[in-house]
Amino acid sequence: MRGNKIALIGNPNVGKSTIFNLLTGLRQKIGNYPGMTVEKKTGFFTIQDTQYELTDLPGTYGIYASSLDEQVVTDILNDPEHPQHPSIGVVVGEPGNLKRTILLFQQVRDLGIPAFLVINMMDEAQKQGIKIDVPKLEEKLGTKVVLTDARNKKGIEELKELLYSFQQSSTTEYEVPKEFSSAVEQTKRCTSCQNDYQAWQCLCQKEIKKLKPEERQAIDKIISDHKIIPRRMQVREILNRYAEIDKILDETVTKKESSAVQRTEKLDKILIHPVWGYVIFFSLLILIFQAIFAWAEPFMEGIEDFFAWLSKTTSGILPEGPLNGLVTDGIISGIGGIVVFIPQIAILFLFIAIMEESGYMSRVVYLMDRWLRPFGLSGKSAVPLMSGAACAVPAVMSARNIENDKERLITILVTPFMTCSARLPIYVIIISLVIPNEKVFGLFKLQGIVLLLLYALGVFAALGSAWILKKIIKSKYKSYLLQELPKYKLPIWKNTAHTVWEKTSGFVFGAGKIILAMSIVLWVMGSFGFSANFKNAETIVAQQYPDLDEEEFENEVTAYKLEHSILGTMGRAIEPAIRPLGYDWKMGIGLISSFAAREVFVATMATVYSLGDTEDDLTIRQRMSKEINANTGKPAYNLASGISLLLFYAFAMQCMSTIAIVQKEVGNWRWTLIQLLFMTGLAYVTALIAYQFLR
Amino acid sequence: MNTIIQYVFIGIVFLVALFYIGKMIKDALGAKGSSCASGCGKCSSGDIFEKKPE
Repeated sequence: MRGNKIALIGNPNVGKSTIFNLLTGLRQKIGNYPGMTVEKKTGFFTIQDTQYELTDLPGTYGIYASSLDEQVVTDILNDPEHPQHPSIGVVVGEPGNLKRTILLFQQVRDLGIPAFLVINMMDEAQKQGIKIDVPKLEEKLGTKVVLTDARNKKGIEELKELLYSFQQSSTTEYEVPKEFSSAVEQTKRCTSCQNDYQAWQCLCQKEIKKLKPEERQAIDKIISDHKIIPRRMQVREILNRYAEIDKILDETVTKKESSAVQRTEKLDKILIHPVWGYVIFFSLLILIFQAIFAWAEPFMEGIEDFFAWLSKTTSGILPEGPLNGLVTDGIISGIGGIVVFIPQIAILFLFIAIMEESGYMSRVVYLMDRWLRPFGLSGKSAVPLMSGAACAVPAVMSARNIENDKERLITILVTPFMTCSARLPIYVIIISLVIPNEKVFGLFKLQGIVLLLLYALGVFAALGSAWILKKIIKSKYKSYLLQELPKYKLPIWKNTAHTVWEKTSGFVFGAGKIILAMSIVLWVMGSFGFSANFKNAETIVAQQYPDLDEEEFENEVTAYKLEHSILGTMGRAIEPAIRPLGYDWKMGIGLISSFAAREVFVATMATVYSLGDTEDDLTIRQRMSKEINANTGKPAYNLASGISLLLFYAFAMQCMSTIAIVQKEVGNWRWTLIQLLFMTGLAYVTALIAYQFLR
Repeated sequence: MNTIIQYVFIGIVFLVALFYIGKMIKDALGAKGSSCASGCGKCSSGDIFEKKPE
């Protein structure tokens, strides 16, 4: 296998992950968006009975890393003993950035890694008016060049054929500046470096992980003796290489102004305009949140009715007994509590997928950049913050491409404030219960506007927290957003549909497993109790309410039993802490269970209210709207308690996976716990103020 | 179905569900890798990237 290790190396957003997916059949996330891949991914594929291990490396502009994701590439390429060190380097570029791609190719080749060039997105070459003389380019670079159009699956067979037949011994063409040749020779003698460029790397890189402590010491001495300033050496190397590459490109590539470039430029004049750019962006946001309510409503009602019917029918088919209750009140109610949000989740992911695939998301990052700097965030923080609208976990990971440690830390700490898709079901159901279904100016749905405001609240909370953290954590320098704006492309609708399907089904089936388990546990805890009150519920209710008819009596016993069940006992134990926020113990159970994952809240409430109700054919929203808070005598979900709940979920850190990923990325528990306590504390205080003010 | 059998069945299902939740919490907080352990599928970080040779 050692001889068949292949690495995909290239600038960000040139289609490496698309090629990776086509070769391995895996589903690495892709998008028209720099920085999609922040860690290496590995897969396997076979060509004519020969098996290859393929590693998709994060995008990098060169061998000199400036951020954690780029460092991954440098570490692998510089260390021949690294498990992922490739026997063949496939350097991927696109017609519009050949200069930087060839720079990277030369650096990889000079490290002694046999490499060839893949020029992807060849469909774009024609649109951009670019013509490449491939045989001449091959001659100039001394290697093979393959043309691909991975989005349309073109050139992949040729790439496979070349991988199968590729045989090239390692070559190094880089000439070390003469004044440093003795330093390079000394470095080769005291390390395991096999060629001049590997030794040059030891002198120029900030960090070479393969070096042993005694080798590091020796190199530090060489650097000191020869008065080497690594950063200057890097710049000098790159400038020298670019001068040579310019000559190669002059002879091999012709370019004329194309309609595609003109179209992108024309669109950018509007879409990143200092005024119109923001107007269009916010109009798009309004459209998304209006669509989430308006387009999803009929589907949502249909799903709700289906689950109400399923619950009633199942109850009729199954024999009377505890199993009947578990299936109808526990499992069906719980699963229905998440399936009902498929339309909203799908619409949200559809818009995100279109924004990513078209190239518009990069413009959003650019638009956000100028507003982030006053808050102590890097321009690059815009990428994690925007990704946080889908899920905080990959968003926190994507902060790896922020060079400045302090800015990276602040970004990681504030990203969970951004409204992730798991908050959407809670927002949708609470808004539909407490905000009237009315139109503002006869055009916009009030519920959609409130949803937009909640997303805006997440942004303000993130920026406000960043501003506070900026005052606490001092940064020595700022990093700036240097990002290539990709050309606009029409999304491939098949890919978009596939992405929406994958994400939505992943959400439903993934969350469904947790919710199924949680529903079973909640149902059992809500159906059994150890107290005398639970065991003697019928007698106690009969004594307290002697005049009830049979149906009322049955309802009262069910409610009494739930209140004195294991679940009820636990809920009532925490009730004093949540009563000031306007919640009763049943809502408290929802809050506690959703500390595992937010999306569990609605399913929990569906199970809890099903347990306390004898009617099988009610929808989740009907059950929630008729629920009365025993403490206040008012509907459990009124404007005050509803706003209080929305604020709690907007700010609280209720996601174990995010806590875990923050701990891993930050590397200690101190900041993780500060973040957890700050977010939860802020959630509690704002929810308390809102309820006390509005009740 | 006999009520006792139903209770035994519910007991088993309950224990399996408890075990699953416990495992999920352990995986989320104790995972060594850098991928999300929630498995909820909201993002693609929970996807199986490491496909072992057959």
